[in-house]
Amino acid sequence: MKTTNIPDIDDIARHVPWARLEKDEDDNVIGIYPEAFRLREGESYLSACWVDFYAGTKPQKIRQNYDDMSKRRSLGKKSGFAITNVGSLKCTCEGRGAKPRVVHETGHPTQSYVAVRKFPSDDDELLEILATGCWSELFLVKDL
Amino acid sequence: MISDSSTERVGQYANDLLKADLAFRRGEGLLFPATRTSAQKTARAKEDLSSQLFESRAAGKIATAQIAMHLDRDWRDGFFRQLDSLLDADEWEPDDEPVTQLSYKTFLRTIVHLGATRRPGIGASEDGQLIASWRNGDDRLVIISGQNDRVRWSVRRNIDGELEVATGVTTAARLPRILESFDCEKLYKA
Repeated sequence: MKTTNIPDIDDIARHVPWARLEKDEDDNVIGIYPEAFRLREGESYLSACWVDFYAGTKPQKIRQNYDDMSKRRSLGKKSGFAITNVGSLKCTCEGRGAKPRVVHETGHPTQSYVAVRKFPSDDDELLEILATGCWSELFLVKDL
Repeated sequence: MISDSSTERVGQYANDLLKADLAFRRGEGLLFPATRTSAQKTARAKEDLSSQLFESRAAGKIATAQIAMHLDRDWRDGFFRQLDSLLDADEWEPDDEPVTQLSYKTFLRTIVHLGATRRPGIGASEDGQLIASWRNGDDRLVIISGQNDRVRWSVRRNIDGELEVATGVTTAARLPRILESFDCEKLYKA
């Protein structure tokens, strides 16, 4: 599988299921839980998609990423996409001593598929900082 | 006269038939493996998931009812609505484990130890741990309830424009003392 580094000025998005969206006591979505960025057991990298792989406005790009992903798997109507700028993500991780690589993987069934490699998913403080900081911009599927 | 080897073969045949029958009843389709379509498999997987989520919701409600004396009725009713919404099969990631009974118990003990009168927002980790959170503006407290009273917590506080973040792992009983220094009682007390 061919990989290409994603430019720092570009954005990537991670799909966040309903269970990992922060809600208030009345189920209004108000943010993202740090657990949205935790690797599953056996996973070696964080999966995301390349927002700027497509053309258009940001919501249009995310919509196209959604359409692409939906062909392969069912995405909940109450789920969302958390957006981050690649440069900000690297900078935040570097502040915690980690140096992630953000790469586009050609040949994956999802055309805009991105792997965030060397992502320190066991750093709880970093996950909290990402969820409330540089990776906190959220688009809900119902609004796309 | 039937020989010993014939008896064995008949016994084995009967055993195989019984296994195949049981498998067929369980819907594994071993007798007719080619007849199960991908749509049927998907429907079956969804049915299994719905049933697991139903059991998880029931476990959460039973555990809550067992400590009803510590919670007011509105709190309980609201929490039950949240559970129904969280454990919705249409929104659940198929690879996620439904919230476990042990996690519910730890969560409820945490609520009692904290004296949390304000109901939290809730979510779930991929390995079946209930997430509870309270927020006020930039300030946020997140608690992830594991097994045997173990909790993972994270606090984010805006103190005079300076953001402070802290995380840790402790027990439900120790958590209130640890959180004291972050002055976040007002997040979870109405």
